[in-house]
Amino acid sequence: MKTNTSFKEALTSINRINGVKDSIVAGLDGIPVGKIDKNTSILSASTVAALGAVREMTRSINYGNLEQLMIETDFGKIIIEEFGKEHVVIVLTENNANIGMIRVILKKAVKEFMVKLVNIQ
Amino acid sequence: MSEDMLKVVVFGALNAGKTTFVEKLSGQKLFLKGEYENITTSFDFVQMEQGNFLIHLFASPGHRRFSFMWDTLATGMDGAILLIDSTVGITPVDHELIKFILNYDVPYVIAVNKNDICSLEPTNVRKELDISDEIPVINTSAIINQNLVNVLDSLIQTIAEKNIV
Ligand SMILES: Nc1nc2c(ncn2[C@@H]2O[C@H](COP(=O)(O)OP(=O)(O)OP(=O)(O)O)[C@@H](O)[C@H]2O)c(=O)[nH]1
Ligand SMILES: [Mg+2]
Repeated sequence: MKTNTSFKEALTSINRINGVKDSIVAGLDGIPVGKIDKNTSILSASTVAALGAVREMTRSINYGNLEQLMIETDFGKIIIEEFGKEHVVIVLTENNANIGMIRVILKKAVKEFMVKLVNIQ
Repeated sequence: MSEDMLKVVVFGALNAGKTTFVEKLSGQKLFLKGEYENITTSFDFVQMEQGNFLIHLFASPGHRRFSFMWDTLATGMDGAILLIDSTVGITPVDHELIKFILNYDVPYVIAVNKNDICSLEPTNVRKELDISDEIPVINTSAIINQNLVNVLDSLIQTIAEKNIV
């Protein structure tokens, strides 16, 4: 699967960003792309459900399109963003990470990935 | 990939036994159990192996207030299980859920649950829900693990048949 390889490339570049602990891509069906184990499965399923719930919230109060979901814990932040039409990317960051920088690079990685995807298809 | 994957989602009215169903069927502690005071407010999730498939098994919330989760959970599903509560009988929600599942154009099986305390005749259920003879209707009891594997097996079989033709 060529798209799988491009996902991997995109994730590698995201994981290289300072302050990023890990990142995974999941389908909107809640199933992870690539490595499927208990942890990635739980993360994917709950992320997609949370995204659906929050999107429903913004829609019900007419608050525009959901662009990104950010979760803060005492461990760090989790950034969730749509990745193409059928996937999301989940980025786990450290507490002291430069979130602004991560978001910019993440946007760029997603954009580059989309270009590649179009070229493949 | 060595193993094929299937996404299966359990639907049904409030309190029909969906959470119990996925707990007993999988025989494990659920990976995710999204409930508040025994009412599912988000969803349940667990994985299990059955017939050479890795099954991603989800249970939806039955409460109206959380029905917006149905579409999110149904995305990409390969098959569905609709639980009927025998002690309540067929209600408008069940008709609505059948319509909902048909919209996704995936195979589904009907489990008429709580068979341990009250039994509904599958032929009557079929008639009342106005569904074709090809849709399996099976009496189950989630609590005593009666016929749960049969439900999953017939769903897997229907999915497999659909993928051949
Ligand atoms: N007698 C009997 N009780 C059952 C059976 N399955 C579930 N129950 C009981 O019915 C109640 C509701 O079960 P749940 O599994 O939480 O139902 P649910 O469909 O997940 O409920 P919601 O998610 O809130 O819609 C619990 O008290 C269960 O013990 C069954 O097969 N027989
Ligand atoms: Mg439940």
